Amino acid sequence: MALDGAERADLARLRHERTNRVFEAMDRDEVDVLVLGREGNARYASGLQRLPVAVARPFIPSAVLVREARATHALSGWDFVTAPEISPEQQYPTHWDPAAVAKAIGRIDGVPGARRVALDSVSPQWRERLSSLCKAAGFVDAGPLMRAVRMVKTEDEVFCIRTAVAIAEAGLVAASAILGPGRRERELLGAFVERMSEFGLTVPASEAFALWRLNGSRIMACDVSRVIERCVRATWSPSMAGFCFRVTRAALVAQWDVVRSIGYLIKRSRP
Amino acid sequence: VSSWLLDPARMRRERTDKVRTEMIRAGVDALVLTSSGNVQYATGVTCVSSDPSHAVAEPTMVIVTADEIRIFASYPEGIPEDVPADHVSGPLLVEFPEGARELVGQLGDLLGRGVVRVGFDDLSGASLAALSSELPSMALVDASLVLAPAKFVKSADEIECIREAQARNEIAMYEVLASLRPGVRQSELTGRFLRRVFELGGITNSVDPVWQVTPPSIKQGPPTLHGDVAFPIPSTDRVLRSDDLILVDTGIVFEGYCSDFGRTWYPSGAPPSPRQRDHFQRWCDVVHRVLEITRPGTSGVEINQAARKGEPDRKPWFEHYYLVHGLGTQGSEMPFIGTDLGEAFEADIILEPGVVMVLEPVIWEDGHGGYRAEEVVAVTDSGYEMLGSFPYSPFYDGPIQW
Repeated sequence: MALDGAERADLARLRHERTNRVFEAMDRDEVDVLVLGREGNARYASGLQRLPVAVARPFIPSAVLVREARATHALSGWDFVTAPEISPEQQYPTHWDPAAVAKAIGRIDGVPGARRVALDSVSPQWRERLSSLCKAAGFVDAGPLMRAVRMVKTEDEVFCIRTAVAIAEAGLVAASAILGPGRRERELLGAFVERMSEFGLTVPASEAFALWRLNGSRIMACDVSRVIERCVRATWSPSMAGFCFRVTRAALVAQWDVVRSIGYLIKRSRP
Repeated sequence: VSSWLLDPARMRRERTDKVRTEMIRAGVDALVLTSSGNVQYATGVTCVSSDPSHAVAEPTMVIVTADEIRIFASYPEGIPEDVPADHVSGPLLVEFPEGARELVGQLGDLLGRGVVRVGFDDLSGASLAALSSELPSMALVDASLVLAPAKFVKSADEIECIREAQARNEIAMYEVLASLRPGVRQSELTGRFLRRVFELGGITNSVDPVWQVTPPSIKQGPPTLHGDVAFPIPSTDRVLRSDDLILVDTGIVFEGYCSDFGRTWYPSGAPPSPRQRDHFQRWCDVVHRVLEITRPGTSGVEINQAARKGEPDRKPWFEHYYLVHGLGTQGSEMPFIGTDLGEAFEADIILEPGVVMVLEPVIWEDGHGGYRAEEVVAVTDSGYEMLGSFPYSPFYDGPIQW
């Protein structure tokens, strides 16, 4: 299949380069400690991969980076794949009691004395906890730092994206192959995800609606949710342009999921 | 919506009323919600389902006050028809300072600049910065102060949604079970499951399906800090073998409500060994002991003790997980029983009619594997109702008459 062959992304190098970029940005912005709760940011900086879900999780610090020690610390839990370079000493355990997680983060070298802490997200409760862990610190938004770092891709990242695009396109080809009058949009969605799974991809969370919008007069979606019926009736003006937009967007969404999965997939040797 | 029992408009109305009652009780003047389960619960707005890593890029956000709901969304599809058009705007891109300033403007407009208490389920770094500088007298609290008590007891409409979600989840799992054999890949099972789920209509996938190959001893599995069985591990394109033990966990969403499906499967198709039968029987015994006392008035502590009664050597659930979690617009919500939150926390949990519990005991005999499955149970006026009916292959061909 598409993933066989000699050409592979070097995922250890990919993670190493990404983490280095984050530390360089922390130097530039004089950020002592970076606390990341956004899944994409934590994944980027630490290689952490949580079990993908469609319902957002409550905030928890998923990765904590300390500039001076050049140390990446990551949450360790039950639904995680932690990158191999993150040693057990650099992991802090998950607890249901957030006070216990905060205590473990407070023991990380460099956290208690931090002067400038950047956060990409937080909950009110965790804002209090982090304020009492880093008593001398000023808190700033980590968004600009992480966006700047992630904007330009490394070669390995481009390779992953290229593979992801190929798989997403294969899914779209499978869906378009069954496109015709009388098809339900959900059948297209089914064909789309099933084809991608044949490439070893698992699909974390898919758009339940708004994926394909078909011309109401010629191809009617007849077994869809109330939500879609309302949309078709009230707001959607059927046009090819709209259809293409939706398909393109679906492909983009799929690509990002694929990028994530491929990252995990390629590092495993196929049996 | 296929069910004649379900009235979505009534369900939404009752939930919003309940949220406002809890806001008064908690002294919260407004809620700012962006997590899809919370948005759905408080307002009936359906968010586009996506992985959290890109959900933040185009967030659906709602602000709920005592007399107003404002919705900020990219898609009109998910907004109930009874919401006035002038209460709906485009998304607030709160990851950026510009979007955060817009949020601050909305809150200032709704609540003024005086001392107010606002519940958030998430704050972007930019929102926190903007709120701290522009609205310093606003007290920020966790939205769960309001939402957790509101969600604890489900209405008949909500339970019907969970029943329907569970039924559709199980229909898809029949097809997956039929495909289970040595040589099939985890990702193929995922593809089959999702195709069927999507064909069934009106639903979305809430969690990357888990088909975890679990070695018989903990030390053969991935290392963890908690020292128990590593679970659940995300699926890959791994090929299943005939002697594998597969821990299965899937979940979908119907009308905003989650299902939860768990079983232990063996790809070999061979009759179970005496040891496997023993694990399964002990798992059933744990469920029996819990169901025996599942009725209004029972406490979390009593449920915990009942489960452990016949299993003196090892807690009959994963140490890092729980024996019981709730199920609703989130796949895991109150009540939690068997976590590390302790006995005082569980003593405060008192079952009421309408509480929905997922029982997920685990029997584990290190070196020899174990058995894990999940049953979804609604507490009724006099006892309980099972919300699922999937068979326990290869031990039973039909559902168990609990």
